[in-house]
Amino acid sequence: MKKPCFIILVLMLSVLPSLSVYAGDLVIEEAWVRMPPPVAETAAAYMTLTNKGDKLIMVESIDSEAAAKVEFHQMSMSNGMMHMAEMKDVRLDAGESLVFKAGSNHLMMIDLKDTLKAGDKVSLQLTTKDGSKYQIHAAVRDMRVQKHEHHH
Amino acid sequence: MFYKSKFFQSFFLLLFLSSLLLFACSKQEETAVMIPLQSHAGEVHLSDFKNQLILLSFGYTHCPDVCPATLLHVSQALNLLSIAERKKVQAIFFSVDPQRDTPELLNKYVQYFHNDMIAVNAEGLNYSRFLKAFNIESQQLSDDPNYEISHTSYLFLLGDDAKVLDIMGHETAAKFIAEAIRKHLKD
Ligand SMILES: [Cu+2]
Repeated sequence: MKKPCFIILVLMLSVLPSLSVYAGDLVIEEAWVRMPPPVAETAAAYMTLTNKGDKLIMVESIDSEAAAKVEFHQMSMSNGMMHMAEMKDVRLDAGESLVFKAGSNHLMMIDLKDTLKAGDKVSLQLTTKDGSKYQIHAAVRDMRVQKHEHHH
Repeated sequence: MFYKSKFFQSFFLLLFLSSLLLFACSKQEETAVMIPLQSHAGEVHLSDFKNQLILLSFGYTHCPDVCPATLLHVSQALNLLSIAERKKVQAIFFSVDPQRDTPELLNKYVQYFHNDMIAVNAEGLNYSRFLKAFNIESQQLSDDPNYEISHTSYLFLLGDDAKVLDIMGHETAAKFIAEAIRKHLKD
């Protein structure tokens, strides 16, 4: 292969995953990671999973090179008390969406390997029970910088 | 006569016990402000912040979602205040996880959100007394080294002698926190 062609191919391949995370019936959108304070060993990740197919999808696992472990967490409140519990079954019926968002259910990245800075891209890999793999690219956001709430 | 003195004995005993009870109870209320707390700069007490309102929150650094969101709201609320107003408020983050959250670590954690914030922990009896004073429950969920803690996530606005002026949910937006502070600064 000629060198320019090779470079273009490599560039295309590197752009491809960020363009689309579609590799099956599961569509993963709006993935981002809350920038953790420097000493934090955990970070929350958020995303929306949608089953665009007509069959049940069960999530087998999710992992990331940025953390020792990634878990889907269910957040609940009772009497002002905040509980987090790992969701053992992450399943989506045909057409169903699961939303993981700030202040609610989230993904928990445990034992971060490196400090995550605003603008960093975190890759996560989600595997479903049928063996499909989905590559997710989540940008790290510094929530202290907000576009809609300016004050000096 | 014997009967009578017995009556008086019991009467005085009862009086003594009830005054002891009163004393013990009022003492327990006072202790919230006197409980020694550890900050990176040494021991502090709520009573150290004279003529200041205290905005007290509870959490831990391994909490990835709710705790940083709450502290973000607190820091934004402080930024909504004027410099003069801000001097009359002290935001304090109390760690429900003294096992992992050292005062040094906690300081770095809160500094990320706001320079004017301080963070404290307490251990053993002081820890449980402090939580009890504000009716905070905390529960470690496993023995895994990456354990999580379920905890009450209210924000407290405290006046003199740690008197509770306002209790807000952890999701309270910055401008409502700032409003609550302003309201009590005027009083
Ligand atoms: Cu969690």
